[in-house]
Order: sequence, then structure tokens, then C-alpha cells
Amino acid sequence: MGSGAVLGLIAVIVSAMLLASMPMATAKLYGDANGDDVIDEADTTYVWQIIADVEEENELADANRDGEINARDATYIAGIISGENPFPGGTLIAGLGRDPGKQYGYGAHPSLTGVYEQLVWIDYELEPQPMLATSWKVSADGKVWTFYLKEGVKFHDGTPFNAETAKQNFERLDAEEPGQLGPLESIDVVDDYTIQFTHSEPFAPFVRQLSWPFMSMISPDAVDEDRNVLEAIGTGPYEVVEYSPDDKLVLARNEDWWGGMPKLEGMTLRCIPDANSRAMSLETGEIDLIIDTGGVLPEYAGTLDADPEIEVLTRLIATSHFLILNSGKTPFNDTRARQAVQYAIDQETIVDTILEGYGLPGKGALTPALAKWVNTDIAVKYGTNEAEQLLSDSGWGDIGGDGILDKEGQPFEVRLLLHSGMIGRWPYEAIAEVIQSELNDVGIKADIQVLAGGAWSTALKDGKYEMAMTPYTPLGPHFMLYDWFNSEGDMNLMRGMCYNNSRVDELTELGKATMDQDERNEIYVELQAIVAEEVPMFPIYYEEMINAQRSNVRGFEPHPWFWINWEEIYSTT
Amino acid sequence: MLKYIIKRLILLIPILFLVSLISFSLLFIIPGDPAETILTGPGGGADPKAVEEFRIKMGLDKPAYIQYFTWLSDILHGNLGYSYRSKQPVLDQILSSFHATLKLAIVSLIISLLISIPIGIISAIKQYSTIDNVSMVSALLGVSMPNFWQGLLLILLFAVTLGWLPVAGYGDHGDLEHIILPAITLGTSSAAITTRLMRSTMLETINQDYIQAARAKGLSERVVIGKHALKNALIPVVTMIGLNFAYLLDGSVVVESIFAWPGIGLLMVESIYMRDYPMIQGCILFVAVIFIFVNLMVDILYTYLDPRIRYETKE
Repeated sequence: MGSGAVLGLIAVIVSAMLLASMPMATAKLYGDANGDDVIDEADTTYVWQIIADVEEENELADANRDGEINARDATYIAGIISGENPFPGGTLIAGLGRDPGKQYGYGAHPSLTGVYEQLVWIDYELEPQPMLATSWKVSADGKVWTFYLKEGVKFHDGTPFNAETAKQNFERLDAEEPGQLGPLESIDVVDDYTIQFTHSEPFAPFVRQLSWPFMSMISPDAVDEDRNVLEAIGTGPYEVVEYSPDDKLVLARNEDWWGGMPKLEGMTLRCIPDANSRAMSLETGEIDLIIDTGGVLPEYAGTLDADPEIEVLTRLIATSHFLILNSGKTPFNDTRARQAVQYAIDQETIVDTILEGYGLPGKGALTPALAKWVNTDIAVKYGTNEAEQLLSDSGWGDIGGDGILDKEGQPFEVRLLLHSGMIGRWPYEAIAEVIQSELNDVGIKADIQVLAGGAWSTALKDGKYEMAMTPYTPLGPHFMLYDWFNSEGDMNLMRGMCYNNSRVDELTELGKATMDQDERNEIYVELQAIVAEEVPMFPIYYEEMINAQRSNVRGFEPHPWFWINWEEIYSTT
Repeated sequence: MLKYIIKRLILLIPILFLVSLISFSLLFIIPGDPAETILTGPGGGADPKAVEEFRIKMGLDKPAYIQYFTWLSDILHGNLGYSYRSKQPVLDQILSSFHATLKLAIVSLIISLLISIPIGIISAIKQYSTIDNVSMVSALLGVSMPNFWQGLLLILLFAVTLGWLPVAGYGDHGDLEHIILPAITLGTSSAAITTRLMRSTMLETINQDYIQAARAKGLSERVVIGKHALKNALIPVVTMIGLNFAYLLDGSVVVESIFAWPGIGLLMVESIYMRDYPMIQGCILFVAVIFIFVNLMVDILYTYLDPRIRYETKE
């Protein structure tokens, strides 16, 4: 530490030298003649009024920036509105906790960067919408899917996007992870802009499957024969300019984008792993917005909100946090014991205190972010009396008088396993302690164990646990209900849940094969009711994502599956 | 001398072999299946078939010793493999991260030396004076203050409150304004230890007879301390600085993470988090090699500082 004075002096001198070179925001919203931060018809009118001397001249009215305000500015603004002239959207710097260049090996995160697009994306209500496909249809037997593709789309390197390039991409995806395109038999190019997928059996969630954010269409020239992506070349509104690992990804707008001229000229996505540094960077204005799940921590949201220059944005996202109860062994092979645990835990208090209100207490297995599919009859279950009743009904009683329930000479002792990686991202430890104390109140002794990622997965797979906490982010009802509750479901097996109910198996298979949306909905409503009653696992809370932006940012709307609407976002300063 | 260096270099071979063995065995010591962890999607699921295919593609289905020798022979050909996540060559990423760490390490070292050497000397000459007491107390504080806390305090003061310096980031490839705060954080904490060592070795030296002799000869105090005492007092300090520098080169996870400095510490932690085994193994091997070489350099440097040390075995 030497001497604080010396330190301070060095810092002062050096900082003074640098003061002049601090970066400042430069872009202005030229064309926003009336100064309301949007460019629309009203601005054209306003320019005419300036020319007619009804309104005062101002800098922003000089849309074409030739130093005078005249009829050409009105024309120029009309050109901005129609997309002929570039939108003066400026540039922005966004901060996030992970490196957006490292995910999936694509060189740019598909949903966070605007570099890639796919046939289908998932909208704010988590319903699939056309992206590079204009429409699709499925044959009457549910096995043949036909997608009609957008015409005139080009990759950033100029390669045209068509059925042939789409096919190459899907072949890559199928080879990369067999099965992720459903029970696939063949992919066929019908004509230049029509592609057909043939499945061996009906697979209703196929369209949703295509909206996973890594079903990106990548320029065939950017991928080598081992399926490695050599360069991040997609069809999206932004292209990669520069990438520096663990530091930043610089993007610029793709002026030839099929969707029109993106508003923002470019942006820099900066990886700032430390949540405190991230928030402080927003406070100082080094970054303009914080994006991504986990971007702002609940404990920092209040501080940011108190800053008049900063707006905190929240959004219910598709991620839910579950408590799994191992149905395969005592004591939770008894449905009543599982129900009792759910009744014993006060989820509302957990949300209000530990999460500072950023979240919703769990009800059924499907998150309310998937509103269309949720069985709304399922309510929050909490009540110590109900919990105690259920426990005594199933033969548990405090025989030893030590406050812990016993049955057939065995005390009610369970393990609660936490994943070391997850406790770094969510407040699982604090939640687990609340669960531990509430279970203790009804006579259950819970032992919290934190295991390293791999050990956690292995312990669960081998069924060496009674309770475990896990997040899950489904793209639709099938992925939640089939994968976790079908006795052969991937997650059910991988997490060693041993949940088995023949009606649930029947309904999940039916849901997978039923094409009619209303019929599927009925199936899923019944399914949710069964698993809510049998409690192989239950959501503790549905997560709300916290993001934040400075006052110069316009048009940013956080998305429940972390897509960023970059083409709509712009800066006013 | 040359003989000594050659001998040391030969000795490196078994050490490096051992290091490679240890970093490779990590794959088997860490519980959990890498294939499964890597293929677990953002939703949480992994397809068992895909897991099997990944294992075959990455050679994870082969016996451990075969995997090891394949890896070792690749390394000898300068190929540390490809990252599971980014699919880029491991060596490229390590070198780019190391570049950032090296920059930070050099600036931190300079800051550390600028503080510790003069203050250590002054404290020794003016033992028990106010300057001595103040600097020893602040050195104690420097040792005990955790880096993350010091880093956050510096950010709060210089970036948030005063607005002189950026909070975090690498800027334009590690420019001056971005390097100052992380370098001060790292530099001061290593300076704390070096200051104390400088003071005690200096004290020891100035009480020796030959210093008295130099004084008696009528040399000025400046020459006595600066020329006669300093050269001898510096020897243990150089070892310390060398070790310090080696530590700095390994990348400080805490400081790199707070200041979003894309160095090797950050790379390693992120790779551990993502279970990117080739990257973890590559980083460990690289860091170990750097450590060994810096130590070798320090040993060689000794001979120049102190002619008494010759490292020659008796003929």
C-alpha cells in the first residue's frame, strides 16, 4: 500500500492528462425537428412550419446537415421515414455479464446480437412468428412440414439465402445434435424458396423447436466441413465489425437488411462479468444499457432506479426455478409427503424478501410467460396446517420428541442439492435456507449441500438426492411437460426424478402428436392439473429479468427469451 | 554460467512433463461428464445421442492414456486443441488473453516498484521515524485489504464520484486510462509486501561492517546507501519481485473480473465455468510454463547482481 498520498497523486496527475480525451456521445437525432425523440410525419410538418417562420429554427431540423433548413430537409425526413435515408440512430454501448462472441461457437450470440436470423423466432408472448420463413403448413397426417421462405434475403457476404442454403444449415444442425429437428426422415428443396421436412411420426412442437436461438441460418461459406463456424456471417440487421474475446463485440448495421434500415447505426456489446462494475458503468454513462438475463441484480435495481438518468426495465421471462422432489425413493415416493413440502414453503415471502419483489411466486409447471397455455385454476399453495395434516395422514409423527418427524423408526431427513454454478447466478443459497427453516417448522430436517456442476448432475442422475433446485427455460408447453414428466422424458431421466404416471405419459405423447392448437391446449391443461396435484417438482418462482437503460436509449424492450430488438433501438444523443 | 543455464533447461523437461500430466488429469478429477455439461442447452436439456456423438468426436470414449498421449503429441506440434465452446484454437485465445495480462502485469510491476523501493529504503534509513511508521502501517493495510474491495473503492472514487477514469473495460486494446485502476489495485497490494522486505533487508545491510567502512572512508551517505548498500540489499527483493511478477502474469481472477480486463485469469475462470476442458488444460499448462520460466530468469539475474553466486559445481 506504500503511501496513500503518493498513490492519489499519481492517479490525479494521470487522470488530469486523460480528462480531455474522455469519450463523449456525439450522435444527435438529426431530423427530429420537433424534438420529441421520434422521427415521424410531424417532423416534416414542423420543417415546413420553420420555413414558413411559424416555428423557430433548431439544429435538429437540419436533417440533411447542409447547414440550412429548407424544403430539402422535409424531403430528407420523408426519406428517413420511408427507409431510403439512413436513420440517424447513433451508436450505443451495451453491457452484459457474458461474452456474446463465445456462445454456441457461432462467433456472435444468435439472440443477443442481431447478427443471425432463423426461419422462425418467438415473440413477446412466446408464440412462434415468421422470420426468414413467410409462412408454413403441415400435412394432414402431421408428418410433412413445408416452409415458404422470404425472397431477396442475402447473407452479409452477399450469398443469397434460399431453400438450398437453408437445407445446408439444417443438415449442419441435424449433424451437430441429432434429434433436435424432431424424428427427421428427410429435408427436401421443393423450389428455390420452399423447403420441406419429413418426419417419421407427427411432431407438433416442430415450429417452436425451430425458434430455439441457435437454429441460425449461417452463410455456407462461413462454415467448414467439420461444421465449425469460421466467421459470424448471418442475414440479420447487424454485422460483426470487430471481436475481442472476453472484452467486446462491435457491430454495425446491415444497410441491405431485408427488413429495412435498422435504426441504430451500430453498437458495442461489452462483456463486464462483475455485476457491480456493470451497474457502476451504467451510472457513469460508460455504457448506455444493460441487457441479458441476470444483467442487473435485484439488490442493485433500487440504486439504479434512484438515478434520474437511468430507467430500470423488468420483464417476466420464460425461466422458472423449480424444487425437484425425488419420487423414486422414500420419503418422497409418497405423493402426500411431496404435497406437504409444497404447502410448507411460503413462496410469496421468498419472492418479496430474497428477490426484492422481482419475480412471481410459483403455481403450476408452466410459467405465466407462456400465458396462452397456462392452466389458470392452479393457485399458489401455502399453509402450515395443510402441510402438517398431510404429513400425519401419511404416517409421520414426532415419536422421539426431538421436533423431527419419524416413521417406521426413520427420521424425516432429506438432502437439498444445489449446483455451484447456479448459486453464482441466482440467490439459491438464500432460498434454500428459507426452505430449510420452513421445513424444520413442520418437522422435516433438510441438509443443504452445494455440489460442483458435474457432481450435481451425476448425483441427480443416479437418484442420490431427495430435493434439488434447478432453473428451466422452455420454449413451449411440450418442452416443459414432456421432457420433465413423461416417464421417458430427457429431463426426467437425466435428473433421476423417477416420476411415472401412465396418464401423464399418454397425454404428453398426445400433445406431441396433436396438430390442432385448441385440442393441444386442452391436453396441456389437464396435464398441468395432474402434475400440480402429484408434485414431482414445483416452481418456487417465475423469474423477472432486470435490465436498465440511460435516458438517451429509445425502443428497447426486454424479451422473455432474451432476444434483443436491436433494429428498433436507437439513441437520441 | 552457460552450463548452468543448459542444466536448468534440461531440468525443465521432467517438470513440464509432470505439469502436463497434472493439467491433463483434471479432466478425470473433476466430477461430471464434460460432454453432457457442454451439450446441456440453455433450456437445460441434453440429448443422450448427441452426448454419445460428441464423446466420439472429441475422443472422450478412448482410454485415458491414449487421450493423454494424443494431447501431448498435439502440444509438441504447437497445437493445444480447440475450445469446446468457441471452437477456436486454444493457443490463439490464450495468447490474446495473455497479451492483456502481460500489459497489466508490467504496469502493475512498475507501480509496485515505484512505491516499494523508495519507501522501503527511506523507512530503513529513518527507522522508527514517522515516515517509517506511517509507511509500515499502510503496508500492513495493503497486505490485508482484499483486492476486490480495494478495486471497488477505487472505482467508486475515481470513476463514479470524480468521473476521471472509466469504471471497467479494456478500451482501445488496453489504453492508459483503462489500465490505471486495475494496475493500481494489483500494484499496491504487491508493493505492500515488497516494501516490508526492502526495509528489512536494507536494515540488515546498513548495519554491516563494510557499510561502516564505507562511511569511515568519507563517502557521502548517498553513495553509501545508493551504491554499496542497495546492491546487496536488493538480492532477496529481486526474488520477491520475480515471484510477484510471475503471479501477476498468471492473471488475477478477481481484479480482471471487476475491471472486465480480458486477461488469462478471466479466460481460465470462464472456461472452468463453461467446462471448456481443452481451454482449462491449455491455460494451466501455459501459466505453469510462464511461472517456471520467470523463475529461471530470476535465478539467472542473480548472477549479475551478486558475483558471489556463480552456480558452478565444483570441478
